[in-house]
Amino acid sequence: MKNRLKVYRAMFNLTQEELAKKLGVSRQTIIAIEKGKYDPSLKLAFKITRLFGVKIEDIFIYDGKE
Amino acid sequence: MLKILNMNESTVKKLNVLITAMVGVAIGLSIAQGNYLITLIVVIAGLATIRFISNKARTKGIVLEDERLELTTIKASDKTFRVVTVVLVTFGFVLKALNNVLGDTLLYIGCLMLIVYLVFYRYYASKLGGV
Repeated sequence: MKNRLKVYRAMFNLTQEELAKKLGVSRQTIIAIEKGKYDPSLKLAFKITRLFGVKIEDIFIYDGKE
Repeated sequence: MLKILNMNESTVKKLNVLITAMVGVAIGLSIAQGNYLITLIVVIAGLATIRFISNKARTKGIVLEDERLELTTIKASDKTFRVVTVVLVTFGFVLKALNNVLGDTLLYIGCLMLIVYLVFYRYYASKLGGV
């Protein structure tokens, strides 16, 4: 699954640390999501999209792999 | 001590590694000396210290565990279970073929692990909406 988390984080001028704190996860998790190594749970995905005030498909793009 | 340290995620992880290493060394030394009471005390003291530090970290809003770490733990546990079971059963059969009593013990442990796995599997399958 591809995502545009890094883009949105930059748009909102947030560091990985700040975003992690807002979402209640570790900075490593944010890094892993941005690198596409880890697909977040539905709960975390909703938390992310609500934080940025966008729809889930604006950030997460399902490419049919896995 | 924790007030002196500028505690962040990295500090907590380093402290936990340091405590685990110290506990490991202490256990090794106490077992070598045949003093199992010290082993028990060291393990309990180590666990209590790690728990204390983790609680302090949580109150400061430091995230030590999240869903990614949970998934990592699940995957690591699953692989560990599979590898250990296969190794136990394989060695068990080899030793049994060589008429070694230890073979039976290993096979029994393998069976016990499978039974425990099945019990937990059924529990979680039921908890997560399965039959």
